[in-house]
Amino acid sequence: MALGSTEPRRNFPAAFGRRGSLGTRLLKYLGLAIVIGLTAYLVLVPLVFLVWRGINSGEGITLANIGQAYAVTGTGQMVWNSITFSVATAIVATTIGSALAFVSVRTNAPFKGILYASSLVPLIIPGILYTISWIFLLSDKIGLMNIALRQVGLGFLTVNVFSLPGMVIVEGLHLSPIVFLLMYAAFKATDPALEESAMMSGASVPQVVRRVTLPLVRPALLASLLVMLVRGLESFETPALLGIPAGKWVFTSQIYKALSTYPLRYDNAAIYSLTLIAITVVGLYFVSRANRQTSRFETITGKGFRPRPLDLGPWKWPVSIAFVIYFLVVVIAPLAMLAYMSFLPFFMQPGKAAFAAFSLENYGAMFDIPTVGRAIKNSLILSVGSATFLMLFMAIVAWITVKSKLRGRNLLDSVTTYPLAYPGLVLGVSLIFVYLRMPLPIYGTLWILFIVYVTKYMPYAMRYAANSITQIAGELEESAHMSGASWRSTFRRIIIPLMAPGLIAGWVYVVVVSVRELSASILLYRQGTEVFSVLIWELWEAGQTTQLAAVGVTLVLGLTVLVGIAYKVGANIGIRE
Amino acid sequence: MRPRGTSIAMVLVTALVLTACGGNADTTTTAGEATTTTVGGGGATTTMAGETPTTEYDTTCAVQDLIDQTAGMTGPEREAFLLDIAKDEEPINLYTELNARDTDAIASLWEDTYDLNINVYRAGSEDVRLRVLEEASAGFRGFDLIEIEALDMTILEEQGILAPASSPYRDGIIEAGLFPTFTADRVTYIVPVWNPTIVSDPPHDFADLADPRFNGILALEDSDVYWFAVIEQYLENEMGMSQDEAVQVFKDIAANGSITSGHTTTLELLIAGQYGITPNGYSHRVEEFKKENAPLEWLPVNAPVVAEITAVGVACNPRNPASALLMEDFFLSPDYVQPFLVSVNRTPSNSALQAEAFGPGGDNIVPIKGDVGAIVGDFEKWTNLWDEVVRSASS
Repeated sequence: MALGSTEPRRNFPAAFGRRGSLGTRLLKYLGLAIVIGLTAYLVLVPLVFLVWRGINSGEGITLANIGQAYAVTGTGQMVWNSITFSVATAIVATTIGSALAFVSVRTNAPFKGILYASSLVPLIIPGILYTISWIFLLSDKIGLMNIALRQVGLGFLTVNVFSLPGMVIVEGLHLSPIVFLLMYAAFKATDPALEESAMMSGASVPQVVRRVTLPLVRPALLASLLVMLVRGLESFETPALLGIPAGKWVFTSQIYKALSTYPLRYDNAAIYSLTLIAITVVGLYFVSRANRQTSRFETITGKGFRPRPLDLGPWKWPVSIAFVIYFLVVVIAPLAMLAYMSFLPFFMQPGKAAFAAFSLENYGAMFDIPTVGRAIKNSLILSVGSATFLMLFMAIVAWITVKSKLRGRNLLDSVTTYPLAYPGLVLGVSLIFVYLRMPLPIYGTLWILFIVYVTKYMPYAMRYAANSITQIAGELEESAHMSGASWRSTFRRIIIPLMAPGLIAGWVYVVVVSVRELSASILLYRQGTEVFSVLIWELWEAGQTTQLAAVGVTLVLGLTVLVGIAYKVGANIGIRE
Repeated sequence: MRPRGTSIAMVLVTALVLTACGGNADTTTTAGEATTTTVGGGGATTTMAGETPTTEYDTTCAVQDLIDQTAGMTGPEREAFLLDIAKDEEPINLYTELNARDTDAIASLWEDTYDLNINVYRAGSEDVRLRVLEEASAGFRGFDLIEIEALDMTILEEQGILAPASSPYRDGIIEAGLFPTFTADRVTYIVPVWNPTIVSDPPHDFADLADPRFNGILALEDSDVYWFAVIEQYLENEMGMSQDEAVQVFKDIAANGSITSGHTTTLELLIAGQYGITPNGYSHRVEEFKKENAPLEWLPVNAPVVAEITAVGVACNPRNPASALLMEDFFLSPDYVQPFLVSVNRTPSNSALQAEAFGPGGDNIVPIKGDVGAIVGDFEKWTNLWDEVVRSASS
């Protein structure tokens, strides 16, 4: 089924409810109830805690209370800064991420091979290091890029990183890999026959992109914009390091302040977080309205389907050059800055003194940390474990919300998105609260961290899974069903393999970000369950930034290898070219 | 076909209800109705909703018996007595904000000295305090000994989570570091720091930081509410200023430059030349950078110096009471942790050892005394005033 079809949503459950004995059907429904119940449990425990803590701080969440939470000096300006920052960031990240994904998947541009892994580099570098790298590259006084531009007479191109445009550029570039991954999967699942038909009918490449390609991936595009918007609203490092010196205060500074003062203002933090959740829910509502007719986006159908690259024609070289520039500026420059810092005892301007101070001491010192081996092992177990669990789990949830006609599916969709707005600290505190009172002895074990990662990254996993399932036509399931396949084997042998590019992309994302999760992990780990992010924090706290740079470089290398393996495995599971 | 039986909304609502009912809370505090509870038999009391202290709690600690038994003993006598009991206890649980490198060294020193094992949890002072409060409210005995900032310790003290401080080594500790349930083991001096390649004429006094020669090169770190409160009080009490005048001094300084986030980042930006001077840097961090030949200076100090105190305290109801008391002494005695702190450029709280921690010019620094308890009591007021200062910089 292709674009423009008006075929109605398939009746649920085509292969689910009609067959089998009563016992089998009951078992299936029980399975479904477990999936939904588990989702609800993971998401609602922190939410209930958030609301309850907010209400219980004395005055309750009343209008007056809400007014008071927002009655901070400069609130209007702060809200305006937040909105401008997050909208601009979302546009930058979505444009860059989508363009990269499109060129990488759908075209015959040279150099695209290096893109998949390299475009993830900004995501892998811990936020704080990425921002610091950009300060040393784009600060008005000491930024190397700015100095270089001024020296070659291109001073008009300089950007001061301590400004709103500077914040948007840094955050947009840092977030663009999330969009890249989301869109990569979407483009991968687009049938090129439609683009080819358009080309045959005389359309130019820009026309094909605008009128065929982009409309086909609209669900993914809108989801990316929404996720970026919320991420922009709750981002912390960039507003703190770049925004505060520029006098650009944002929303998150307030949540942070409410949670670092005494007595803790849980009520204020709750009100701010609930506002973020409300924004997310409204956004999601519009996204799902825009995507209402899911069959319009189904491009993986029973017909022959070969994802083949689009010939860019005369655009081939301009696009490739833009690519190389992007690669040099966004990937190589900050990475080179990190590598440069990692050889120094502290940051120095490049010059004789700096090169004389070069040593491998920071790399050596990394292995002197007694917990480093354990932290790497724990992080590897947790990130791979939670990513694998989440992607498989969310594949089922996405199937329910996208392909079924179950009542309340939109609510389920919306619920999986709430954790996007949970501050990590609140999530951590809520889990301490619950698991110290439950007979389940997981406090102080890796399991509690597993729950954190699964909850926190559920919204992303869900978007990756939902986007990829939207493009799979129901007729494939029906065919399998007609041929006698059970729902389980249809899911395992048809749906999962077809969703593979999206699931792998989501998996990669969850692995990378869960290695970096700190605010909840730091409250919940104990000796024996240290994770890598705690190690990074320790170096940061101890002021060993250049040693941290060495860890950052190692992390980038390590995770790039892991991502490369995932990509290869994914290519074998998913649709083969 | 209509779905049969299952409605996601119903499952969600059920889960919500189960969640809401599931927390077997010991205590709740609802609007207008304060309920308190005693934690773990140790006498600690906390409220579940936030950290507003409750008025009534039992101050008898389970560790008090052991403290009474060691009363009047000298340091070595108490060490021998406690070590004997500690050998039969489990490994001690230490919660600390000290960095990994130094904690590891202290843990090794402990294990080598006493042949006792140790479990360590490290996080930022606020995070440690948050975790301890949550654990205490659930009746969970997580830590035996804790080492965090005095500001956070005061909050734990108010909640009745700490036992009375009893180390015989308190005699040697600076007066500003003695509190009823905790004792300073180290201090961090917050001082003006400058890059001598940019600033040739360092400030002559605190108000001098507002001088135009620092315009555009000054960086004020944005998290130092305690430092602000102590100096503000000093300007009022010692310099005879009104509150408005004192706050205005800070605003004038803030107007001279930019607000930055993070002490280390600020110092790094100073070294890199983005800024030239900061009114609130950590002296020990400067010393560490200076060892690597970084262009930073903080002496001579011509401004009031604020000492941020980090302190140790014993849990009211520890799992390992003898180990906890033994480690309290271990941190405060002039034989173990205190000299170690000197060796890593930190400032110990032992007055005799403190002079050793600084080079020439640093040994005669007398930090101004801050009333930690009063500042905690009025923390919101101080936070708001500080916020005014910080925001005035950008307006």
